Amino acid sequence: MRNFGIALLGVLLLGGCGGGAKGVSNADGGPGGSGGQSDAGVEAPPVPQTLGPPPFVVDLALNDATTAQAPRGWPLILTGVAALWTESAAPVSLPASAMSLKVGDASQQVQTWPLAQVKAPAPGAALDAEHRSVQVAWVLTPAQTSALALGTYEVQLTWAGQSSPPLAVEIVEAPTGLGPGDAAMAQARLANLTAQAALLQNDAASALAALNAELVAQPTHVWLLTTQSLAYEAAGNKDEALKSAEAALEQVLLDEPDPDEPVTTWELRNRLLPPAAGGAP
Amino acid sequence: VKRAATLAFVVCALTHASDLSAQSAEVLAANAWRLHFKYTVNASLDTGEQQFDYSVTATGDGLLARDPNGAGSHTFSGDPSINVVVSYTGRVIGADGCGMMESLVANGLAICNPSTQMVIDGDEGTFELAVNCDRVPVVHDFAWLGKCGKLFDYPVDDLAITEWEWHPEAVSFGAMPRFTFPLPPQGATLSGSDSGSPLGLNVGLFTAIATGDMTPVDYQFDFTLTPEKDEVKLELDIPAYDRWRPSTTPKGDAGEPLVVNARLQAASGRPPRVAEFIWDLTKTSHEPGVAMNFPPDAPPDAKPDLRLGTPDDPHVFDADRQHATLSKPDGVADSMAVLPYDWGGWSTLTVTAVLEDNRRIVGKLMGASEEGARLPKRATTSYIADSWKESHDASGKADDADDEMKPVGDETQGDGLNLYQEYRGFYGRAEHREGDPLVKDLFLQNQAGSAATPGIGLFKQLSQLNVQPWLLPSELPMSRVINGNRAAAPAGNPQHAVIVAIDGSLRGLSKAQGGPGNPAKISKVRLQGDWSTVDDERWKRLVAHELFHTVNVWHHGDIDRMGVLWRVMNDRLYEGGGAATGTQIQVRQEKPDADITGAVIDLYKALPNARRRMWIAVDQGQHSGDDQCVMRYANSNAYVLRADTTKRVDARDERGSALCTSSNGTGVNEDPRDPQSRYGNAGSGRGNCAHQIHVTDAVPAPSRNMPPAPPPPAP
Repeated sequence: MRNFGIALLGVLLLGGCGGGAKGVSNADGGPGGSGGQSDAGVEAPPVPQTLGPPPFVVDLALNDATTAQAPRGWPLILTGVAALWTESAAPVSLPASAMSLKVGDASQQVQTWPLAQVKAPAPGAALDAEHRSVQVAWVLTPAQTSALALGTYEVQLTWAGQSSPPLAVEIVEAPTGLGPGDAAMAQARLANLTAQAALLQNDAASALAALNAELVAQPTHVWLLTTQSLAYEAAGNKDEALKSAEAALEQVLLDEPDPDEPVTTWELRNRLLPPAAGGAP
Repeated sequence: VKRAATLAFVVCALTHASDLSAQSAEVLAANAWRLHFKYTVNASLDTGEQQFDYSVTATGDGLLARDPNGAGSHTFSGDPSINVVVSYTGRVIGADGCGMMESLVANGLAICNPSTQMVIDGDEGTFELAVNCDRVPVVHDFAWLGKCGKLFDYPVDDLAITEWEWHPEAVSFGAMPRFTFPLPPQGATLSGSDSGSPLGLNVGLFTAIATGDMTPVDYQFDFTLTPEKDEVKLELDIPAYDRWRPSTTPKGDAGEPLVVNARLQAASGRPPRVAEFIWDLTKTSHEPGVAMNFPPDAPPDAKPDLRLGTPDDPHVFDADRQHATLSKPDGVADSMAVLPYDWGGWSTLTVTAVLEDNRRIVGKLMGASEEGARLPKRATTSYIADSWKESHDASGKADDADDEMKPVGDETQGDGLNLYQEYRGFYGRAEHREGDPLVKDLFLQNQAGSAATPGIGLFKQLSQLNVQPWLLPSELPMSRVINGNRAAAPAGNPQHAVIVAIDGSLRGLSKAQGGPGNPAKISKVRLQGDWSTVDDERWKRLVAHELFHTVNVWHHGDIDRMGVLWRVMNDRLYEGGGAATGTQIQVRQEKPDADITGAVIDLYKALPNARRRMWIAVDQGQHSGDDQCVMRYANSNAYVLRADTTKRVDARDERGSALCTSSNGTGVNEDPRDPQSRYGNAGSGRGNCAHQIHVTDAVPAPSRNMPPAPPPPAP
């Protein structure tokens, strides 16, 4: 009888059997197919396994999660979460020491980004039936993103043994030469991003400065108004917060006069209303 | 210790020239022969002085297998089971009246040394048979001496004979000739007989009376030899057969090999030589891609899903690796690895040993009557590995079964994915995932990352669906069909995954576009671009709310009056406009009951245009029903006092974090309640959200549209 241990070794080294893979690209030689010595010390490729549901999942998002592009000179926000997934799972301890955020460039070289963690797990953080998710966040300042090389990076959050899917982040030049409409959208995004980064660092004044400046140009921008409302609330100015929320709501209802889904702006406005004004506790 | 009588037979050799061209090829091809024979001897003598009776009955049955080193010479040998019974009594009385008597009984299996042998001489057209089992155990022997004049009254003792040579030396090997018979001109049964009394019996037992005379005895020898057609087996041994299932990688490389061992076995213990081993995979699947969704929209497979042999395998293969041969193997065993390239692949493996005599022996699994082996180990009516069914509590289910009832939902069975599809599985986050045959699966592509994850988790928790939010953009086709890679596998309906994404153009609200409906109807769950302005807990509940629309869960009602203007004119509060078009209203505080109209008017006077947009929630509207349900709204500002429809009660609601199981109002909607149930039970056909869940696209999801809203209360 032939030695099938040796035969399996061939699968590893050749990256495929029987004339290659079917129906899918196999250009890089398959898993673990980085070549190597054909000796007894080389292990057979791992047997493909079916993955069952994890006890919890880890995910990442970039900025507002609408695009993988992050312009240089803009703030950059990475938001991470660990969320309980399997109901029967034992409580999962999520110490900060068991968390790592890895950034790699296109050639998978590890990069060191000067990320500042602005939202950290509380000491003793854990996932259980009562605490179903824990969020974290990191920020790069505009100056820091300006120093990043252009290109596509992969960011991956690993926490207590679970990893997020690699998040592609494309560092691009800040948009220039846009038409009026696109330029306005870009400026609104920048102002919001700046404000959110500031709010994450408990800097309501900076947030308001960025928002107020852009609202001069775009006074009815819902998102700017909503964020402004939050910034005023963070600054302890509930009256202005309510006014911003009211203004945002007016705009939402202009866009959606007959909304067929719950309106979060309405919830925000109601939350800010004093009792006796439709905001009873 | 043997003290034997010697029975000497002389057999005339029979040699016949045969017409070899008419000779049955089967005779020469036979690898083993089953021998049946009967041999009898009956002899008696009474000369007055000497008397004896002697009889032998021997019956033989057994297998003669081809000598492993004698394939060309057609020599067969074996150890048939031969039962022998010998009976002898004899006495001698001398002239002086003195005598002696003795007796012997032998009974049992013949002792063979060497074995019985048959040789076919194809050139001469004859065959020879030699039975070399010449002894049998003695069970009784005794002798008596007789005093002169008093016969045999004095026992001598036993004769200490332990074995008896019972058969003619003529049929044994050695210098003596064998029985030789002509091969039959046709047919495959060899038979022959010999009988007569040309032999002499030398009664050497009684040495005292031995005369040396040869006394004729009668013998009869009849035999048949029939080819033993099923004697040789090719046994297949698949060590991992009970647990193995096909696997592969996202890149379509070979998964875990299944090693199959084939070994030729002969009942005689001496299998014949093998000229060639032939391995065939037949009826091999060509399912597109490697899993139900990967790669998306996979073209028809050019290559089969299961293939033979590792790269360094010395067999000779065809291009598709469905056929392999190994000529002149070293020994009677061969092995092969079957390599899978699809998580749902299937095939049937056949192994054939071609013997040097051109016989073809098809392999069977040990104990199986069926030739070959179904891969993976599965029922004849299934493409699913038995081991998977067993480990997933799905034994006995058909491949096209789609009958999950967990959660019960709207009592529609299944999740649109049949059992085979759940077994073959899916790729999500570059890992292979399976469906749950007991719980309804729902696949999501979460493009929003961490922005949606907690909400998806809440949706999973509340729905009790097996939510699988793992699909990467590269793992779902544009059509969103999650089970599109199908060919010969059990058909089903296209089942859609749901895409969850942040939509920067949406602000203030999110939408399950196309919903409520089953996943096919939901082009995308569009989450609002300003999601980060919603606090974490409310956002999580909102995401779950939108996701419930993707499984046809509806709002508790549709008829709230949203965006209604409250305006102050002339120190009066109007709803719906000014004095000309609106309704003058009063506002009351809910608890404790108090008229707060004045306070509201004072507040509104400070507002631009002295007005504010309000959400008036009504009976059976969006805020009705179970107040802990995630499908209930939390936008209300006031409700209408039923006792006086000009009065509004100041109210604020929070979205729940549960899923209701009844349409009845609870909490603030409970009836009775002071001052009233705010919004009452859920609308007609609404509420009881847990029993609206409908996942499958194979069955249309029911509409739960409500009648149009009634007109606002009259002034």
